[in-house]
Amino acid sequence: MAKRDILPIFPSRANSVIMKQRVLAARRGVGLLKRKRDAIDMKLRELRRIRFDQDMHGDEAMRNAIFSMAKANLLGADFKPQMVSRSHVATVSLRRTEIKIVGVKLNTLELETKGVGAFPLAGLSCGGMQVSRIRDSYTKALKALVEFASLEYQVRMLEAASLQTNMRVNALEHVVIPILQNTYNYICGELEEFEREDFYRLKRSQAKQLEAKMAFTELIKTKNMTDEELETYIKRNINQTRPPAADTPFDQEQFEEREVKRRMREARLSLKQRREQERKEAIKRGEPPPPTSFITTHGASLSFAGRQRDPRASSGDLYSTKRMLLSSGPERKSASNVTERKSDTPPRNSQETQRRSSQMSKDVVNEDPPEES
Amino acid sequence: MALHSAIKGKLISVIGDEDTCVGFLLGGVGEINKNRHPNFMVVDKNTAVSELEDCFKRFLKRDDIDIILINQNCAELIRHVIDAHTSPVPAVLEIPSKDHPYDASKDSILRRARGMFNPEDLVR
Repeated sequence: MAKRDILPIFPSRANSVIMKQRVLAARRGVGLLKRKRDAIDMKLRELRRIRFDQDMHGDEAMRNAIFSMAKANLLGADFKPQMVSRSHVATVSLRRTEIKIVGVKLNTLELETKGVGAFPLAGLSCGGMQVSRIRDSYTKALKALVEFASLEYQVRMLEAASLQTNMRVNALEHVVIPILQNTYNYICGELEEFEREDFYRLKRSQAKQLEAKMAFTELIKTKNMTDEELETYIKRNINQTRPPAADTPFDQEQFEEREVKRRMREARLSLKQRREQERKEAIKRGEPPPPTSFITTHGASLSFAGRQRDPRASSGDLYSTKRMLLSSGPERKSASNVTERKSDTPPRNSQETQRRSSQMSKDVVNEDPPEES
Repeated sequence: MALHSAIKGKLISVIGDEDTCVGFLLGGVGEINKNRHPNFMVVDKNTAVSELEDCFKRFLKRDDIDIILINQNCAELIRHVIDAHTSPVPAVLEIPSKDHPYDASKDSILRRARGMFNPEDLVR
């Protein structure tokens, strides 16, 4: 859409209403001007016909006047030089009155007669009757000619008015109304764009809130589960895409950043120790260590492993994922690790120490699979 | 009546041969203003075209003349001046004289009207 076809108006709801009203007003104006133009054209045609008739009347009157003058010349004597030199004040004059035709002001010319007529003593010596006839004939001719002139003037003015009105109609119809309509369409388009923008922004915000809520729900649900419960939960929820909402209370300390980082450091240290022991055992047997394929043994858990690659996953979320992967691992590895831990640390008899060692063994198994794969 | 007399009306001027001028003067058209300028002009064989043209232009400039009656044979001599006059006031009407009958094809008004494709004028 070209820039010149639009008025420089800011697109808003109020301006949309204003522009719509301007379009309707312009269309109403075009309708009224068209009716005025048609009325002027009808009146113009009528006046032309009247002018034609008046022209015939004028011609007839002039013919009669000329004939009476010829007759007077034949009968009368020399009276013309006196009239030519002695006329001081005209006894007939034109009076201009205003009329209004289809809203157009026009002037009308009317003939006024003062006194008894010019040169009352002319022709006194001879031919007086003929002179008065000349006077009457020429007066009638003057009336006819004045009326014709008046009609001629009216026709000219009406033609000018018709031309002007037609120009206004064309300007409104082909210049002003398209501009107003384009501006109105542009404003409506902009308003719809604003609404779509708002709708999309709200949808994105809602989607993010839903993701956070789902992640939080899973975190809360799996915090207090034992190994058997966690395994059952994973088996049951593999088929489900979205877990149901839960409102279980949880301990804040378990999910603090410092606590989680400390556990991860202990897990990495235990992983190194376990790898060294496996290497020593392999050297003793004289065999290379057997490679373990994570994909082959834990194919069903890939959907949970993929969550680690999500950059938006939090630390707590990552810890929860590791616990799930640990419970899905083989039982033999976990059992052997637990046995080794117990044999290495016999002096510690407290149950808290045993719980910590069991958690560390879980972390070790949790760390192992992604690196192997 | 007194009010109408107080308001001075417009005049009708005549340009033509002697009979035409005398006839309209008998009708009451003639007036000689304060400057001794008449509103009519008698055209005869000895009148020059430039004199006729000057008189016509002078009548056009006067603001007290609303209608100019001119014989068609005189109008033919100054056709270009009459065609150049396009304003509605004063109105220029061509009238016949004794020696030259009226010819509609030469009339500026009717020629202009015929240009608008009016069938009634074509009939004439």
